[in-house]
Amino acid sequence: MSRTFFLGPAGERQWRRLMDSYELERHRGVVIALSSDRRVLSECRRRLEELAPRLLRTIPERRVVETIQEYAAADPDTRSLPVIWIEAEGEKLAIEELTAAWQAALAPLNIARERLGDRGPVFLVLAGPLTLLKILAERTPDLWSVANPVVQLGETLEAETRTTAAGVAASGSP
Amino acid sequence: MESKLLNLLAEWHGNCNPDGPAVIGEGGRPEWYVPLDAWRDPQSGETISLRGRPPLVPRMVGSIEFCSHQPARRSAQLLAGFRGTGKTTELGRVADELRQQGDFAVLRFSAEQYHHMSDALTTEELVLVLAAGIGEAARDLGAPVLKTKSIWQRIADFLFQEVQTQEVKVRWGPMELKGLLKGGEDFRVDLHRLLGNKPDRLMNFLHDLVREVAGFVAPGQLVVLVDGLEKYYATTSRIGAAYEKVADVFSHSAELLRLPSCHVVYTVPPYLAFVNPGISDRYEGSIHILPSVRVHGSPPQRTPHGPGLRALEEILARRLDLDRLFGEQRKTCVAELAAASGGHVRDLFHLMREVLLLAKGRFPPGLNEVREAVNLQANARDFLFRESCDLLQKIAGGGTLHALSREELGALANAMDQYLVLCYWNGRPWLDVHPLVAERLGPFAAEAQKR
Repeated sequence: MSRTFFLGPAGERQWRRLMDSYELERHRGVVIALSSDRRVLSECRRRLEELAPRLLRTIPERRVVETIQEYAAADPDTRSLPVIWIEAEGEKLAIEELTAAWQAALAPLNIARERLGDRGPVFLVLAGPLTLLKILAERTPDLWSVANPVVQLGETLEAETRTTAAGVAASGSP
Repeated sequence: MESKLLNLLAEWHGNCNPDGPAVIGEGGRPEWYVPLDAWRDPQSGETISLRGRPPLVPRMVGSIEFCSHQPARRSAQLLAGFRGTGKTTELGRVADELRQQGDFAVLRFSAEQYHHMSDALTTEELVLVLAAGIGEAARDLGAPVLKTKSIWQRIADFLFQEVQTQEVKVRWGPMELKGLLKGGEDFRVDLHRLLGNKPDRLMNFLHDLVREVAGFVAPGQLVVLVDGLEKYYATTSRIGAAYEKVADVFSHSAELLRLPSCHVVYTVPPYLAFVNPGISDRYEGSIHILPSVRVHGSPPQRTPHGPGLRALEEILARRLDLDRLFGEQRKTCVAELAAASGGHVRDLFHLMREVLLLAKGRFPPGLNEVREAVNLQANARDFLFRESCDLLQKIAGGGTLHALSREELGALANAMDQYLVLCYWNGRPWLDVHPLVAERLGPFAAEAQKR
């Protein structure tokens, strides 16, 4: 049983979608995880780290596609997909700042979207505040149109002991 | 959940990946292909087009064949393709069909390979993109002259030897050109200074290259399919202006873009087909539009269209066992998913994948899970439609789109790009708000008015 932070009922349901998506993906998953509270995203990332054999956290930089492919190629035989978590640094970024932070990565990600799993299976999480969705929809409509699910995790983060969905899954319950 | 069922759900989830294996070409899954333009309805036994027009591929191929017997042996067509409506698949079928005939050599490339696409291409940039795409594809085809001298060297020589002046010097070599073309604003300005007042030389450079490649493939005829010209990655405030520039380039540069000794197809933004329908006169008389599958009639009645709904069911049935998944509720569940997709096949797959996520917790899923999946997918668009609310309401009410203001044109372009608005065709093209947005539009607008 895993005891950890609680994301609230709605947040936990959204986390469950993300987790289910990860568990059903066999080749290349691209999901969008949204919360204006970085600690919520951090908790979500920590849980994914427990599920995945490997997780790489990186910022959206120009070489992001190469980073993804190199990381995926490192151990392509693994049964569970490695996770790459892409999130810009900085607290409460305005949309202009967030756009600037993602700018270099958007075009390469958009163009390479069909090749991301070519060198090994990979599960990609594009994480950030709600405004990231608008940036992705405008600047990378092709990537956005295949990135699914869009997981809106909310802002609740309670430090109470409670069984998380990851813990439930690990114990074998549905 | 037992691992056998989990693996089955995972397999179906993969089969419904909208960016997964293509249905045609190498490594494709032809058994998944459903001919939406000539679909046989099992209920009526009739073969019908669910996109309201004669099948696209025979129309495009037929036009090329017809023009191939004319003295000029050239043609130019425009294909307005919405993302996710199968444009790339259909272009691939055009290429396959022409290649199989043995009379045509088909070159195919995407503008995205050569340009950043964050703004409309200028005429000068478009010429370089076309030259680069044709040159590299022709080299792969084995054209001797392009094997010994790369297309980039050739472009550099053209700029250096034929275009530069004392006032405007060429500062780039062939190795830098590709990166610069993808790079952005400074190169665009320099290029315009070099070439902006030399349209004849620009045209001659491109047309000479095309004639050379056409000579290489003779006695076969050359076909060039240029994909990706409908995709621009601009902000909401700039996308309308970008599309206006695209319209200008295609309107004013038709002579340049109608390549000699060659049949060419350009993809263009669907927006163009609605805002500048007259442009088709310069390109064999029509813009081919690849609309969504008609699942209902036009607004405000939106009468469900049975054949469209059944065809979408067949698309899903080719990829997963619907009886195993839904059991006795198959018909109602799939009909609800198909209606919610608005006939946009990519969204149909997203909806089904959402159902499969829910099925992991509750198997078999039923109508409740289907409705939950629809709701979850609709949530992702909530944040996007608000800025276009007024325009969307106008469309949802069946209102006319004539005399839109400049701001509304930008909003329309944006709404089309983000699938807030879908296009259909029966007798004429018409637009409707995506069902995933439509239900939330009214309450949001009412709430906004109160504020």
